[in-house]
Amino acid sequence: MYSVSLEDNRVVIQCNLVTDSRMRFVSAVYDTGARYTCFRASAIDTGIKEDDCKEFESKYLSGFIGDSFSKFYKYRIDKLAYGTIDLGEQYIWLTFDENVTTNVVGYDIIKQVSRLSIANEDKEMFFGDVSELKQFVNGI
Amino acid sequence: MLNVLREDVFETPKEIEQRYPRCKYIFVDFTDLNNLRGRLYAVSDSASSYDELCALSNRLSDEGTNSCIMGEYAEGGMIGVQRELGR
Repeated sequence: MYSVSLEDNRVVIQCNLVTDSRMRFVSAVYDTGARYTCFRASAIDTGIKEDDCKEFESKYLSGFIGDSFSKFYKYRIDKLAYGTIDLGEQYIWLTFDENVTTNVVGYDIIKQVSRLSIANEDKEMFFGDVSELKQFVNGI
Repeated sequence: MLNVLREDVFETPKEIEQRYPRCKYIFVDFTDLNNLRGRLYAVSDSASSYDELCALSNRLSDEGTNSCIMGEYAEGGMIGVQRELGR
């Protein structure tokens, strides 16, 4: 189980990303209102250049800088761990927009993890699988 | 501006953010993701030094140190509803 405390009514997840054998811890806001998981490219690796991503699928997404749209590229991660929960190979969306400094875990990743929150306990709990969640609930 | 501090004291992110509000920072040497405690390595007080902060954190990670960029700049990491152009 991985648990995260609410700070100022917000959940921030520590994601562990592995690309090309390089491991990175990157913090990201847990946002159930976001369709896509989005990171600033330099937070993953300052060696990733926009020219390297030109052939990748791209989208223009807003919600980071007022109503402005930033370009995001679909990028393969060898392994993404959501806190302590390993989700294996994943695709995330990277931007090179210098105005984007907040990373977001969106519902594309969130829906892959079983989760539980208890009213007014200011904590979100995530589980590697449903049986772990059931075991926890039975023990409450 | 980026300040490399290399502090020795182990703290929680909340304690660091109370000392350095409206800054992003490099948090190192944490071991338990369920109970985050680590050391403050460097602080960036504006987005103009964000890439420099990332490069430093990346280097620490490549050297085998658990390193994570935490915190938010002055706008508090405000995130609006995510919308996709053309959808």
